[in-house]
Amino acid sequence: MEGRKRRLVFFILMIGVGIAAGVAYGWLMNPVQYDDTGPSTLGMDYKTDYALMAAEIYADEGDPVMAMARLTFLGDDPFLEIMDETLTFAQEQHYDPSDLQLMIDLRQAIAAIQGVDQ
Amino acid sequence: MNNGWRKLEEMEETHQIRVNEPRPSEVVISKPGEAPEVKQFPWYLLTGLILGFLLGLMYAWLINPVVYSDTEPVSLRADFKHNYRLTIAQAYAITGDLERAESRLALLNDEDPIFTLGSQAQQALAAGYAEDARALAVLAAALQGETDNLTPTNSP
Repeated sequence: MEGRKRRLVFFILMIGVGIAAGVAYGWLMNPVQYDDTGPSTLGMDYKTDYALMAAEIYADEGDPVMAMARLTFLGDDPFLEIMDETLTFAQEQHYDPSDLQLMIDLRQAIAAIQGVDQ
Repeated sequence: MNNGWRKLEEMEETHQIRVNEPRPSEVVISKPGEAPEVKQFPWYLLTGLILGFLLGLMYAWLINPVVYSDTEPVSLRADFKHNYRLTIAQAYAITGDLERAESRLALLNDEDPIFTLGSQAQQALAAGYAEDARALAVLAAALQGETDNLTPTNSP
């Protein structure tokens, strides 16, 4: 009976060791790889650069609807939210003032078309 | 009669000795009188380890996998890369900043950016998006021109 109990304890102990090894392997050594990610998973620096591109194009086109269509690339979040997040990041990263102004212009145009107080 | 008894006792002793003698293989008798213990590989430990490992993998890959939240453009799906590339080209068509366009294109890690831009321009043209095709072609041409300028020539 004593031997049986001991074997059970070691069995459970080995399951625990196995779980730890499996999680370590699955998270650290060979994690799930995402090759086909969507733009919404992009890092904030890339999102901000994309928003800047949309702002650069808007500066020439002057069409906020087309700019918003481009911003849908970054996900389902509201356009103003996307612009606010990326603008904040751009300010934190000390983007060039002319680039910041382009983004501010686009944000204002979107706010105007949506009838939101700026 | 005594001889008979002695023989009988000797036989019993012999018999006892044979029973208590350890067998040459497998069987180990720790103490005389105890049941023989057979040494076996601890399969239950290996079973527990494998079972645990599989459970751990299931947790790490299926139940709670690593979530990528800060991915790079290089990991984007092909159609998203097309969209990203087109936006780079459109922005370049307006700003004319080739250095910036190049650094943006580098994020997509295309093997041959000029060929990729040209190929995408052809696809856009075939789909009837002439303006997009033009923007892509202009950027491809600008990169091509820069590459040509960097190519050493034999002319004096």
